[in-house]
Amino acid sequence: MIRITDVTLCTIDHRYAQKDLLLRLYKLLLQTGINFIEINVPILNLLGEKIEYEKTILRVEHPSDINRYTGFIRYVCRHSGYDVPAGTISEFQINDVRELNLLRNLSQYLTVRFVGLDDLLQHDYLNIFERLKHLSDTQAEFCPQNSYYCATALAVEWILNGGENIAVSFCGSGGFAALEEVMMALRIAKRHKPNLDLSVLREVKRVYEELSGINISGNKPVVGNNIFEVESGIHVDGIFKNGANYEPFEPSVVGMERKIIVGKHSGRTTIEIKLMEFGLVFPDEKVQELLRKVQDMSIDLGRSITDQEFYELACNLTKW
Amino acid sequence: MKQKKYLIDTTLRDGEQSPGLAFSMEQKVKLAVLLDGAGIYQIEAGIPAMGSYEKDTIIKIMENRKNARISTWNRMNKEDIMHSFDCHPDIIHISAPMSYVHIYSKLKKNKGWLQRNLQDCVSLAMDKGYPVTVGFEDASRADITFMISIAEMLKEMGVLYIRYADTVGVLTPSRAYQAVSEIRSHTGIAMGIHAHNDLGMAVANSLEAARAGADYIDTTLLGIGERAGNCNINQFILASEHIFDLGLSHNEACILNEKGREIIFRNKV
Repeated sequence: MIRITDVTLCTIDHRYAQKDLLLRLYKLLLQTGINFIEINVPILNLLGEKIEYEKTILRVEHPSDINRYTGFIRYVCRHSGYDVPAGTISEFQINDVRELNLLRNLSQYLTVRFVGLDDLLQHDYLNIFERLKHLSDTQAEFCPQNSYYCATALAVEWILNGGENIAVSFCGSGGFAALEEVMMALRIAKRHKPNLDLSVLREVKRVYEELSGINISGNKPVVGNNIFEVESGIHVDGIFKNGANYEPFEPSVVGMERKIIVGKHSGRTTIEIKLMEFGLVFPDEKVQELLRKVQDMSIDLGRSITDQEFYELACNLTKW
Repeated sequence: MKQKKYLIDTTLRDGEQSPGLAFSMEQKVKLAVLLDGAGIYQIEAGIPAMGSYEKDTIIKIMENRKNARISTWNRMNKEDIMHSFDCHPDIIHISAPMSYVHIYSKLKKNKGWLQRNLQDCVSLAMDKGYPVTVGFEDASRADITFMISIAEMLKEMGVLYIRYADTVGVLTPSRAYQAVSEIRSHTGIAMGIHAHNDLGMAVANSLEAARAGADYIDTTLLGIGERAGNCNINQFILASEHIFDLGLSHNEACILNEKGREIIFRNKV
């Protein structure tokens, strides 16, 4: 069984966070297909009693804190020592695969989380996965970090190769594997939760941006605003016939829509589709001329042209 | 000693297909000079079939080129390749659809048609004396046995290398490794990898393909490209420079990226 823990809230600076936004993000993240959400004590103090204990993991600084905050499904603690209550995830940071040799005996721990291993793909990672799984007698959780831009791939490969537990964060917040990328990759590669409506990611993105002050880039995989914009003539033609030709998944799965834009790379088909979109009856013999004007204008401006600019170009050509 | 790998920069082709970007001739020439100066092995300069402006731009890039090999991207049809002849590039790249969704559903053709047409196109370019590379478009959703048979044919024809393209960005690292290994072990043909970042795994997929024997790695400045972009040159070098000799260090790639940013977004301030 795949179990995904989201650690986004632990990566947000709680000192500047608005309580209502935090609570909104907490509730939204629980709708993204994750199994558990991790918070820390300062976040708990802000969220208060509105949390869902059966889905929430509490991060504590010291095992003795566990007795002060009861009722959570699990606790996670770094440097926990051996004497921890059942249900505690003992967390180990491994920055380099060579450090694995120092972790010979973890059998006394009930559950362990391995954090780091950013450079794993530079090594025989499948073999190392097996070593990690056998270091502990019970469940091992993997929380890869992203300093080599491979965290999502490592989290996905861990699951595809028999691992069951991973920890991720929205948009890789804090330097981890990106929740939305992992969810989508597992959906495509393993049919994990294939019917889950992921349109909630739009609102997660909006609230995360407001809370963190981070502006998520337009080409961010899965949630970027521009990922379903298409301009190239070849691709527009293919997508118009069938979205699956050039898209990894339907835009509606993540609450988005495909947008055909016109510019330097447009072809005749793009222009015809765009004219149809505006309901413009346009003389067939002038389509090529319109295409040339669109391309020239796009090159002059150094960008695609807007719908308004396209409409005006088309109207000027027919002198409406 | 680290294994040698070669960077193919496609900022001027796939990179420019980023939504909203449109390079002028001046921008493309400047970017090519920048990439050439940084020691990039090959620069995919553009698509001559787009028209005379693009062709003139590629000719200008050729005039300014010092060391890098300049290639042009072509669909698998003779007209496109004839346009490339006008630019006199070092390498002609032909993109051939490999998946059934592209061959049967998009093009309404069949595998026999693809094989014949690809042979014709490759021959057309090679008969003119051009070195040819072939892109396996949508390879990550294609039948591996079919790709092996096409790769065997291309090797016999003398194609330089084939490019395994994860056109819609759905590859995973282990599948990248397996596919490249399998094609390499059955055909011995040289291979490249062209990854898209739709699931955030372009760097990892490229790294695994390289470990499996792909010698040519497609990257773009800043990772720009269609949809969520391509494999970011800077990130790829960081992830792989401990195991591969790429002819460019991570620090040099950082500087290259920043200089590239100034040219790419000159109109976006």
